[in-house]
Amino acid sequence: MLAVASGDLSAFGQLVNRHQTSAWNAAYRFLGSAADAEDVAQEAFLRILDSADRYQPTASFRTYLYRIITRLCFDLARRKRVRRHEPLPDLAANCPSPEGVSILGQRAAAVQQAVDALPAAQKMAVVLRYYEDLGYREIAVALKTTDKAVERLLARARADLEHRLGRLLEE
Amino acid sequence: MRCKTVRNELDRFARQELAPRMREQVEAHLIECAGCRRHLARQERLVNLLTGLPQPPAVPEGFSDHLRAVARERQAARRPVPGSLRRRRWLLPSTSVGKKAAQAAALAGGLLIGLFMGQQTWRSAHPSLPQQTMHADPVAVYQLDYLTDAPGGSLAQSFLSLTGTPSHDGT
Repeated sequence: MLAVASGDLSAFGQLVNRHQTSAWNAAYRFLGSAADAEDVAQEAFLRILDSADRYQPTASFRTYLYRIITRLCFDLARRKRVRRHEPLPDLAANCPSPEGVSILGQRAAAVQQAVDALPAAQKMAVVLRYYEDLGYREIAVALKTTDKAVERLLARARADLEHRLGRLLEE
Repeated sequence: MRCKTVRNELDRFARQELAPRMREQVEAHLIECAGCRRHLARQERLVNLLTGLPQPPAVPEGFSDHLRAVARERQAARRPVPGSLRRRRWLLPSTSVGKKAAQAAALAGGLLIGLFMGQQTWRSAHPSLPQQTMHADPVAVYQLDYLTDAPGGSLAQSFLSLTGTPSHDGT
């Protein structure tokens, strides 16, 4: 980040290469649209470049990146009232038979629908916890809240998901 | 340990994020409590459903190259063009001229305030002038000479005696 702050674009390129998948995945999981995820991920890196001279390494860079991604995702979701509008990526890759694909597709669609129905903060907490493997402290930094609040957010999100996916959980 | 406390910790327990002592306490509780064991199993099924969703599509091709190009453009836009600063100095008033103007205005303001205060001080040091003005004969000042011709005991004479000015006929 020191090199980036001094205007070193090759250092910026390395930073992008190292973290672009995390940024992209989190934004895509939350927004459900490749175009929106690309916009958000790109804007996040440009903001990092713009504010590199003010960066304070109080948390890991990855957490800092998630914090910016989170803010941008919330802003975009508020503006566009985002709902998933793209079909889920190819399921056939994991399943050999057409029947299997159909069942998997229905299940995945139900799970995705349940996740999409969560309030923004709960949804982002779920994305960061179960897809990006962040700890409570890191999620708290990304969501600009406390560890305890993250614990409550995740507990509420799980309760909501269990309620919506009750049938699938019994199978 | 109470069931509620244990259930709050199950998410971190399943991901082996608890401190050893807390982990032992949760394990001990789970051995005894069938309800919490069911809760843990249900939670693990939910997490499996979540993590079973398909992976997001790959980061778009050329994402980092495009980002680097945008960053380069931004950096170039911010960098001053050689010679532009000199031209601007000719076209626009420089900051030093502005500073000098502000200093001159402050000096003029100070002089005005000083002049006003000096006048007040001078007046208080020479009280005779304002007193003279105050005790000047209002009859002469306001050209009320005709009132002195009024007969004694009239309203005009009463007014003149009220003003405290000696009458022009010597009374």
